[in-house]
Amino acid sequence: MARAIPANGELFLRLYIAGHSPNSVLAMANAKAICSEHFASRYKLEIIDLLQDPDRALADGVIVTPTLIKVAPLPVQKIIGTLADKSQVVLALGGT
Amino acid sequence: MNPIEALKVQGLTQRLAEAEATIQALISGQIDAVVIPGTANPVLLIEAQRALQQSEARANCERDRAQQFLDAAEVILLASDLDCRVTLINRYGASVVGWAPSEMIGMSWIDHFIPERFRLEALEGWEGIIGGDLSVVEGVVLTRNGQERIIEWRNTTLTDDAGKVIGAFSCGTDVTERNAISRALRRTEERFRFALEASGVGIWDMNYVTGELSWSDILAAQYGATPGSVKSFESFLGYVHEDDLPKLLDVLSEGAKSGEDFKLAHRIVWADGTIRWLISGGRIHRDADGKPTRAIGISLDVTERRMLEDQLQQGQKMEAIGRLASGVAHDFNNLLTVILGFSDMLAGEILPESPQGRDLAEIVKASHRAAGLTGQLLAFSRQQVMQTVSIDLNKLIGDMSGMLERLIGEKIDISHKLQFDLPPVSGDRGQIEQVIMNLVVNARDAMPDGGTVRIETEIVEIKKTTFPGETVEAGPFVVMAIRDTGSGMTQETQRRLFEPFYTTKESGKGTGLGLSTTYGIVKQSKGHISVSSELGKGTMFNVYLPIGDRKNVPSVPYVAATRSSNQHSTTILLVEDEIGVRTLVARILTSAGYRVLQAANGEAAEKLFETDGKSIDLVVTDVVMPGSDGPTMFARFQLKAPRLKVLYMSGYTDHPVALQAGFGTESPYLKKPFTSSDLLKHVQFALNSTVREEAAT
Repeated sequence: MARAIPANGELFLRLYIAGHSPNSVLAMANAKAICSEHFASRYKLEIIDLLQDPDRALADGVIVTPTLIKVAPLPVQKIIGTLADKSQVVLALGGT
Repeated sequence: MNPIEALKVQGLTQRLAEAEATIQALISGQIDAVVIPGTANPVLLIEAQRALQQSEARANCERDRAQQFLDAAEVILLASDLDCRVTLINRYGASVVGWAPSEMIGMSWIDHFIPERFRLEALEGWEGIIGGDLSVVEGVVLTRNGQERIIEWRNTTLTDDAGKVIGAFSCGTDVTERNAISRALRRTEERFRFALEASGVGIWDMNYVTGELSWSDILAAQYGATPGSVKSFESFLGYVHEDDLPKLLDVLSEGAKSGEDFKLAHRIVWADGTIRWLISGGRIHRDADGKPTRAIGISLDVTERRMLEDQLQQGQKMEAIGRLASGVAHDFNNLLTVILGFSDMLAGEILPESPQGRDLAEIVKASHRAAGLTGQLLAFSRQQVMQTVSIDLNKLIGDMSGMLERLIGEKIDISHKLQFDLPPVSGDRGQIEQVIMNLVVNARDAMPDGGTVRIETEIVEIKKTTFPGETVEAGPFVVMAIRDTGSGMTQETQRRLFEPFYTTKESGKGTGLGLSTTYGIVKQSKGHISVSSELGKGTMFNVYLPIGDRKNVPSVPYVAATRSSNQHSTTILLVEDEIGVRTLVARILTSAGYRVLQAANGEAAEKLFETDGKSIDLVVTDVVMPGSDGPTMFARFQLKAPRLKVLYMSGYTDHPVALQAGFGTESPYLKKPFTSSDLLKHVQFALNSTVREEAAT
């Protein structure tokens, strides 16, 4: 599979989780796998534990976990769930 | 659409897409947490929520299960608050009082479920429970339909976290039926115990494994032992009479082998030597291998019963011997009458000093001795002719004392203790004299080395039960006790003492008729005799005689043995079935100058009476004959010839026929055997007597 390359510069993702809840752990693992596989080192993944930092959810308009937000490049995309359907995630992130 | 609107539409679309994705994720279970803005903890973990829900469900489930347990329990489970209001009741508890559990919550237990008369008491009890008194109590509860049940309660206090009492938890068992059963059981037990005590039945129980033996108190009493003192089979065996021990062990081992009930009569010996008769019975239980494990049984003291049976048997034996003796004596008397009569007649023809005369005198002497013996036999069998009069017993004893002193010799003292103002006794003077003499002679023979004879009289009251096995007319009797200080008698001798021909004296020294004669005389006098004796200490006979009439003056008819002048014109009808006696009497009467008509029985006599009746002055007849008896026959003659006179001859007095004829002191009666002068005296007396019918008019 070819490397997914963001169209406009570096890929910046934020994954919102709730501690070690099973879906959050799953989403974290899936996100890391997808990024390293499709975007090599040209990405940045920020993981935000809402149990530690609930205010961030309010600021970013997150209402459930796990939620993955593609902050850059624009447009901002929200992907909700465990990120199990990797091809759909890669597509949403603008990869191929 | 301008670009701003287009952006708005795009934003809305995106949010819709996000909302849809969120719902999808929620549905597919990919969501961990939901953020709820404006709350203290805005992130609500779905997992935690679920866990909470699960734990609540589990708690509910456990509560349900606990309730099920509560409901399944066949005991009343009741929780109450401090005011004794129901806070929890299981289904069973509610069913006992006839309510639904939900109805009862909040109701005051005391006001609704306790009968009014017990409420005060219940309130005090409740205060006690709250105060910490947790003893088991029984109480009455009231059901919805007004019935009462008895409940046994166990209580515990309920406390809050701080340890403060907030109520009580009670567990109740309905014991109404149980109490009724145990009451019934107690009653049954009581009855059973009463039955055992009243019937004197003792119970024993033996454990073969431990060797332990347990006796009821009654059983211990039967053995003369203190309750609880006999605890082993061995100590029981120590009481068994040695002669009965082998039989008892046999029966027990047979019972252990067969497992069947056993029963036997045996003797036991008390610590003080008293011998008792017991009937013991029981059953031996065995294990699967047939080894005895336990035996239980009963025991009954039958000493008195055996004594009574013994006495009854003895009485029956005496009766039988009496009948036999009387039969023999009666026939023998007829023979002696013939021998003595013909000897008498021979004596008139032979010189007394001649050798034949001396021989004849020997025959007469021997015949008189034989007559004496048959007289004694008849006395024993109570068939002697009695002349019953009232006798002053004290005076009689006094009159006899000189003779008795000579009789007993110098080595023996005789003393009296006679009750003052003793009522007269009823009896035959001669026979009572014989009783005293026989008993004093018996006392003398028991004291070959000397001693004391004491004669006592007093008046006593006797009961129907005083002489077991005898017919007793209860009332006052005069008792004469004759007591010696001699060798005493064994039990066996005491038992057989009154049997004819039973003697402990050396052969030839006693006839064995003395005491049996005494017995017969006392019985014929409607009295009783008893004996008590102890080996080495002496013997006491008690003679009980009925009280006679103080006014009854004895009158003994006196007849001179002279021949009257008119006898030659007198005709006598002689009726006697025994040919020897008839021939003899006919010869005596004929040789005395009477005209004698002879008949062998009543029928022949009646024929003679029909043809020659007018000439007959006197009927001399046997009493007991085959066919028509003497008195019946005479009664018929008397209808035709009221002035006809009679003289009866017999050896019996208490034969039914003789009794019917009204024999007594006034009856013209001749006792067999008799001499010719006896006969002539009585014939003369009968001819001179006035006929009863005449006396009555």
